[in-house]
Formats: sequence, C-alpha cells, structure tokens
Amino acid sequence: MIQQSTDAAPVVELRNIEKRYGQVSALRGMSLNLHKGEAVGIVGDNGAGKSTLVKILCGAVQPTSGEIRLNGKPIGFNSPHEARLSGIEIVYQDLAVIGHLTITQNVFLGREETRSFAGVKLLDNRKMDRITRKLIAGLDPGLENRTRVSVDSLSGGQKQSVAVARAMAFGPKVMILDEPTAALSVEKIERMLTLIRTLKESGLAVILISHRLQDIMTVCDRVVVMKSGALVRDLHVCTTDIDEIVKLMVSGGEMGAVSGALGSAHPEGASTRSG
Amino acid sequence: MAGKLAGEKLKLSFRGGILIPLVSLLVIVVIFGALAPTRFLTIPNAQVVLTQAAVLAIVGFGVTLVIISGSIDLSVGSVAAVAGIVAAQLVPQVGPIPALLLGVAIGGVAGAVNGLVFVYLRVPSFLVTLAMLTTARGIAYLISDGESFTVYGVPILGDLGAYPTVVLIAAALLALFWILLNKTQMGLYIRALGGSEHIARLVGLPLNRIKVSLFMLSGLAAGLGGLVLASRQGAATPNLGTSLELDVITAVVLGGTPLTGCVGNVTNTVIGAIAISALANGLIIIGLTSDVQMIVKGMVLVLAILVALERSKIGIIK
Ligand SMILES: Nc1ncnc2c1ncn2[C@@H]1O[C@H](COP(=O)(O)OP(=O)(O)OP(=O)(O)O)[C@@H](O)[C@H]1O
Ligand SMILES: [Mg+2]
Repeated sequence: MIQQSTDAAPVVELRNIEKRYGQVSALRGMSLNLHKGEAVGIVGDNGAGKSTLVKILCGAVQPTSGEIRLNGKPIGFNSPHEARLSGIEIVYQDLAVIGHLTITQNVFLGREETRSFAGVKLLDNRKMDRITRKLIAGLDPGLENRTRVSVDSLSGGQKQSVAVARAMAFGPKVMILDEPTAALSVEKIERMLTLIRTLKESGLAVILISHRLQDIMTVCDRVVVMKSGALVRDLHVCTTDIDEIVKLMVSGGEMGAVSGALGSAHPEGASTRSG
Repeated sequence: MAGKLAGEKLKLSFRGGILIPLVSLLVIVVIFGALAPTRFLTIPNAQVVLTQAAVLAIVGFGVTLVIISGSIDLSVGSVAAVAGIVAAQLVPQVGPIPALLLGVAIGGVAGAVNGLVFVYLRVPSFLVTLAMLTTARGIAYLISDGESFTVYGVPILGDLGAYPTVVLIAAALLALFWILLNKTQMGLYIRALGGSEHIARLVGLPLNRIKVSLFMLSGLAAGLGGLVLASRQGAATPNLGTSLELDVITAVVLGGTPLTGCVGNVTNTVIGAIAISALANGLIIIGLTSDVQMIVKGMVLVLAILVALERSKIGIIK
C-alpha cells in the first residue's frame, strides 16, 4: 500500500532548499517530496523552519537557492498568486482574512465571479454567495447562514473555516495547512482531521504542520521531522510512533543509526520500512 | 443567534454605517431649526444647503474612495483651482465643452501624478498630496498670473453651479461611484486594500494599478468640482477651493467613513456633505462670525474622527 507513493511521480519536489535571512539560516538544504492523495506531516521545534519551507512552496517567500518542481517541471513562484494559479493553496498559521470584508468576499478575493451588465463587468454576488454557502456548510455547519456578515464578527475557529474555504474554493492540487488546529476546539479539530482525510481521498496532496503529534499520526501517511532548517528523518507513520518522533525532534537524529539530516532526497525508500 | 446578528448590524451602523451620520444631520437641523425657524427651515435655504453640499459631495466621492483604500488626498482644493482656471481660460479659444473636458482632464492628470509618486516613489499619500496641494496652488497662480477669469454668463460653464444643475451632477456622480465601489471588482479591491494591504498583496490583487486609478479618479472629481466652484463664484480665481480639502474630509468622516479604511460608502458622504453644509449655513444664519465658524468646523472634524476611529488600526493610518 505504501508502494504507490514511491512509484508514482511526486506532484511536488523540493530539492536542497536554502533560505537565509541575513545571518540567520532558516533552511539549510531541505528536501521534500509530495505525492497525489498523500498527507505529509511536518514536525519540529519552534523555529525549525517549517513555516519558511511551506511559505517557499506557496510563493510567499523566495528561496536563496534550491529547486522546486511541480509535476516534474522546475518552477519558481514570485508571489502566492502565481502559486495559487498552479493549484497550491495555503491556510496560514496567522489567519489571513480581511476583517471588514464578508465571508464570501474573503473566500473569493482576487478571483471574483462577474457578469456583464450593459458591457460593464459587475460582481455576481449571488453566485459567489451560493458557492460560499455550500463550501462553508461542509466545513462549519451553521456558519453558512452568515456569509454576508463581516469576518470580524466571527470566532477564531470560524475565521479558520473561512480561510480553509478560500483555499478549497478553486480545486487546488496541493493544500498546505500551517497549524490549522491551533485556534480550534476539540470538536473542531476532529472536523479538521476528517477534512484532511477527505482532501486526501479526493486526490490532493496535503501538508500538515502541527505540534499535535497524535493528529499527525492519525491522518498523515508520512511524517517529516525537521530541526534547525534541515531534514532529520522522513518516516512512514506506520513504521514509527510518537516516542520516536519526539526523540528525533529533540536529538536531531544524531544518536540514531541512520542520519537523514543531510539531504537524502528519497527517504521513503529507506530500509526502516516494514513490509 | 438573533441577538448576535443584531449586534453585528449595530456594529456596522457604527463604523461605515449610516445611522450616526443621519442622527448628526438631524441634530444639526433640529438645533438650527429651533434657533432660527423662519430663516433656516425654508425651501430656498434648503436649496442653498443642497447646492453647497453637492459641491462637497462631487469632490468628496473621489476622496471617499481614497480614504476607504487607507490613504488620503489633501490636494483636491488646489487641483480644483487649476481645473477651474484652465477651463475658464480655454473657453474663448476652444469652446465651452472642450474647455470643460480639458479642465476635468487636468484634474485627472494631477491625480495620476499623485498616484504614480505614491506608488513608485513610495511616498506616503498624505505627503504626496500635501506637496501637490502646494504645487497645484502655485500652478494656479502662475497660469492665471494672479488674475481671475469670469465665467458668469459663459455658456454651460457658467451654469454648472446653479441649482438644480449642480445637484443633478452630484446625483449622477453618486450613481457612478456607488456602482464602482459596491458592484465592481475595483471597488472590492479598494476595500481590500484598506482592510489589509498585506493580504491584498498575498492574494495577488493589482495594487499599483488600483492605487494610481484611485488618485486619478479623485483628481477627476476634484477637477469637476473646480468647474462647479468657479461657476458658483462667477469667476475662476487662483484662490478657488482654498481649504476645500478640509471641508471635504470633514464631510467624508462625518458621513461615517473612518480614516482607517475599508469601511464606508459614497452614500455616507452625501449625508456628511449635507450635514456639514447645513452646519455652516446655520452658523451664518444665527450670525456667528467666520472665525467662530472655522473653530466650530474644526471641532466637528475632530469629533467626527473620534467617533469613526478604530483605535486598534491606528498604527497603520497612511
Ligand atoms: N522574515 C524573517 N526574517 C528573519 N528571520 C526569519 C524570518 N522568518 C523566519 N525567520 C527565522 O527562520 C527560522 C525558522 O522560522 P519558521 O517560522 O520557519 O519556524 P517554524 O518551524 O514554523 O516555527 P513555529 O513552530 O514556531 O511556527 C527562525 O529562526 C526564524 O527566526
Ligand atoms: Mg510556523
């Protein structure tokens, strides 16, 4: 069952990504592959470089060096807008919604539906509302009746739903969730995990950054451990457990037999896998 | 649930809503109506107030968009003067209609310059437009050589400022600006820009184009305002529209469009314009001298800003 992920060509390949902020090295030669229908969890201490890595993938940050391939083709994003056009969506750790705009306006921002009226392109608010209501109803039941209300008046978790709805609205190929559960209640976390499974089943590649290791163990296929901007280990969840991950996060893998820290691009093939 | 929805509505009416502006207008009308019922509450006086308000509204619609985008335009008074003088000077040479169009176009050019400097030289809008306030005023004196050009009796240009023409112009402009702001992508992007420039950039909105267009629109509106003002005065003078920007900004803010951006509307500006005009008119009627009038107007501006301000956003007023 794991076979499929190693054989099929990856949707996204990040190779040897470096990112320096002046003297600070946020990423030092980090590599990561992503496959269709697969969820990858990224874990690591605060400042390990998780957010920087996904920001590079979604075009918000430009790498100092390294290569990004999308379906095998080298690609570079100058802005999140370009990444979105290629089907890469992110839900940010710090929620990126505009408080005074409505749910619908936030979901469609930058990609509005319009209709022509006497040669003038006008917003098709009704259509956008209809689509938003459907999306939101699936994500956060009850909230669909408030699509015309400004996002300011919503709770943190509800804002999260709006951000997720925006990421889902245009049929993405890759969905990145940077600590999506941080603002959520237990019940909402369950819903988020179910959502990730659904996204996976519908063929998306999902990246989940979270400090909640049990969540990653339940929904992800692989877990990538990072420390100080580099890969420590890339593991299948069925071959590991929370204890091992925590040890790797803390030690950086130095005491282990296998050192994945220096750019092993294809760790899936590692001998740690059980049959 | 119902209570929560009502709460949301109330909040809307507070910032960018129309309830408080309407109440302030009502208060102004009631006060002066009580102080001078026979002179304030008459149809001719209402026409005077509406005419005055129409001029503020015409210029104010452009400024409203700029303020909703999170910036400010201080140059409208001086730009109006240049437009008025250019149009008045050109009527004998090119005829009334081309002269009018050129006057408005000059306003658009000044606005575009504001926008281009703002965007590409990255100068805060209040500084750019403050510089334009001085520059355009200088140009007005330069091209007029300090003289005034009569527009009294000049076809079309001479009639623009009369009641009800000026009110009709304002109404037509209101419809245009309302559709632009509330029904088009450009309008939504103006709000998004005022709500969070960072997020607007993340989602890939064409911010530079929006900003330049905004200031150009404001310049065009100011240009049209200059023609109307000249017509009302009977002459285009180099001091035309001096301190107009203050009246206009007061009207916008009193209308409930906060300086912090994103919320507000051009309909609010209509209410604000009528309120500030009624106030000015009432102060004259009860016999206050012009220095006292200025003090009162200044206090109203501060009061309006205080009511409409969002303190949490105060760090990013541009
Ligand atoms: N814009 C920036 N300028 C300078 N340094 C930065 C910038 N962004 C990130 N860094 C640095 O890069 C390193 C990695 O940061 P990053 O946000 O990727 O960590 P993270 O793994 O997401 O942490 P957390 O779990 O706290 O979200 C940190 O040392 C951080 O200080
Ligand atoms: Mg992070």
